[in-house]
Amino acid sequence: MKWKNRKPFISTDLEEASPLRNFDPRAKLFLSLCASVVVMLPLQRLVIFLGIYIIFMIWARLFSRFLKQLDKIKWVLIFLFLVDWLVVSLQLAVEVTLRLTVVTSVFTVLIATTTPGELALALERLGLPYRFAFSIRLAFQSLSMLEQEWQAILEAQKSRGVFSDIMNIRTIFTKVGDLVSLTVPAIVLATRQAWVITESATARGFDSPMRKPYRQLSFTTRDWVLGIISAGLVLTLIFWR
Amino acid sequence: MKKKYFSTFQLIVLTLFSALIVAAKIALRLPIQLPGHSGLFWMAIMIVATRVVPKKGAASFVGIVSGIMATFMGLGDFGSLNTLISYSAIGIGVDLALLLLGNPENLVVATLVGIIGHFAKFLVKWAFGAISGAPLGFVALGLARSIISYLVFGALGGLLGGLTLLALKKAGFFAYLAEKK
Repeated sequence: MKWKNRKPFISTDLEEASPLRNFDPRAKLFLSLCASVVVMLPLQRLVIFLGIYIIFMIWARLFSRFLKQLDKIKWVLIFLFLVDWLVVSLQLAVEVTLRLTVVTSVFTVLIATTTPGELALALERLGLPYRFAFSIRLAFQSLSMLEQEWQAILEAQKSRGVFSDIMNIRTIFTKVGDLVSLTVPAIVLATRQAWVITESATARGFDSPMRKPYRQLSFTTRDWVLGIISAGLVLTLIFWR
Repeated sequence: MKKKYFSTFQLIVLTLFSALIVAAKIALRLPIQLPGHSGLFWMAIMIVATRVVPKKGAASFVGIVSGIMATFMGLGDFGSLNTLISYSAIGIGVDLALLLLGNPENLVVATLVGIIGHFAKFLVKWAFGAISGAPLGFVALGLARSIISYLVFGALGGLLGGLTLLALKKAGFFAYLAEKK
């Protein structure tokens, strides 16, 4: 079986240089949610919003991320633009393209400047039970280990000759049973690891009602300002006549 | 103390299964240039998760956690919101399908659950196209090729999940699990 080249390590791509990095994740989440409401606005207001949004992204040093996101869907955007233009109208083509542009990029502000741990903490402060916030953190911490497990299992099974044939769309229907040799060890190893973590967490008072997070978030004046400006802009665009 | 819906072990095992899905998507890339082919391992692990933690909402939990992870990893082409919702939709789809169909150890049921779960992801893509204001016919046309691919890989993933469950049962995995609980 031939497999595509893969990344050696898993990591989230954080924009440390962005000024938004120092803002509270709750303020950035609020900003992203406000921006996602704008998708439903008519063309004229959508263009105004996108102009402001691009200026904001340049200030936040996230414009390259914004472009990278658009690059991923450029063919879809081009296809939809051309079909809408040729079959319906230019106005609809522009409207649909801008809406898709906004909807695919609104959460870049949050994702590019927040670590998963910070997001978990923010969600916990917003009322998400601690156990679930812990899950988010644990999932990220386990990712590298599990990726290595998958690779180790794959190498071991290849050395046994399990995937001697090239797997492609023609052979996958007959070879699907062979993939059990990958999934079974992965499931067993993950379950065993889960048991070890459970014992460790229980010993450290995981379900204790007196538990407090090691790091605390603080919602400062600048976070309030960001939140108020976001809400103000979106409300203005919605109710503007 | 109030009894929790998921025990600590169940919560952690579901979390690790969520991470396993994302890790598989990155580490195990099949040389198949078709949309939705990652559903093969995805649906398999999701189905196994519902049997390891046989409670309503287990698949939804795996879907949401893996969705949050995938969002931060920059996986998916249509932005963070789409990634989060489509991963979550798979979990919800699997939970709903299991409510209707029952035991995933039956290979036919597992295959159907795989199809329904993976199709939920396709529906999210379609819904995003519709929200953008594009005529539904064009969106459907653009996604027509994908739909068959999604159904096929959903079915194969479901089948793989069913086969994995049978292999685990044969190996005494569930007896081992019962001891641990």
